[in-house]
Amino acid sequence: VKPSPEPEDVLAAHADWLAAGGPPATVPAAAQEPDAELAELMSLAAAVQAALPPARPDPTLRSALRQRLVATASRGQLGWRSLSRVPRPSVRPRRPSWQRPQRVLRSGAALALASIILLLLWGRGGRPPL
Amino acid sequence: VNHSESELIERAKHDPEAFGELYDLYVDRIYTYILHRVGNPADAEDLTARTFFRALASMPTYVNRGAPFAAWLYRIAHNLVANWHRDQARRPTVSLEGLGGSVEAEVAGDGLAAATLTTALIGDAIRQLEPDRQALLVLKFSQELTNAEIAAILGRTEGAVKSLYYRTLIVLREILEQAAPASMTPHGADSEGDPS
Repeated sequence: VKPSPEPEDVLAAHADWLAAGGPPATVPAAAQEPDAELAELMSLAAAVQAALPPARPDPTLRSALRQRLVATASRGQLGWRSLSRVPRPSVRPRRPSWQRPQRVLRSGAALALASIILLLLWGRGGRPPL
Repeated sequence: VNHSESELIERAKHDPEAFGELYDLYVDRIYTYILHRVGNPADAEDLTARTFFRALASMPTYVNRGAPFAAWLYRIAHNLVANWHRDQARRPTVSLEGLGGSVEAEVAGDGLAAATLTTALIGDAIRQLEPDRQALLVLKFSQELTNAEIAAILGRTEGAVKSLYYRTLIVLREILEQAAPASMTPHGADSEGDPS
């Protein structure tokens, strides 16, 4: 026994038919001979489609909006030009790896020098300054 | 997105006139979508304008990922309509003006047997649905989009859109039965009234 398709599938196929203006070559059997429930929902779908006709904006407003959009873009008030004015975050170039040990050496040398000065002061009989 | 449209979209990122051409291609569809969602031409025109100005501002960041450019515009319009509905939440719903309220559709079947529904009645019923359900019906029937395209706009899967469509029709039928019981013959009404 061939399993009957889900109502969702039948209705989706039916909606596609409506949108396309008619049934395509492949029509599920359940949609060709729907039960009362499905038939009612299909009928309702057709009514919904009839209630949603295509529309057009007022021609004058349509044209005016186009002019405003193009003029706005041309003046750069919106879009790419305004965005291009936003300052980009600066990224500092990363220090080359071969330069980094020098910083460590400099720090070590400064620490050693400070230690020597402290020891000299201490050796002259005074108390440690700290 | 076909090749020529892709070129036009790329050009529209730095050429105002190319954006105007995109506007010409899509303005009627976007306006129709918005009009059916909000129900009056004045607000539809305003929201259509906002949709395209927002699109213009976002063009530099638009990336073509294979989905139709229209889906991107519908997404903008969808969000603006959602905001509009949020702002209008305390106002009563308006009737469908200027959309040919005299057009009638006959609905056959059990629950809505012999019912003759006007577009205004159906339009009002549609606007009582949840926003995503309204959008689904308009995108499906007015815009003739596929389930995959609708799924991209609503942020759902294709299967979820299919299920939502089925549930939406059932809810819509309930709303119509409650809204216009006088114009509809309920299921079994004749047999109940017949003593024999």
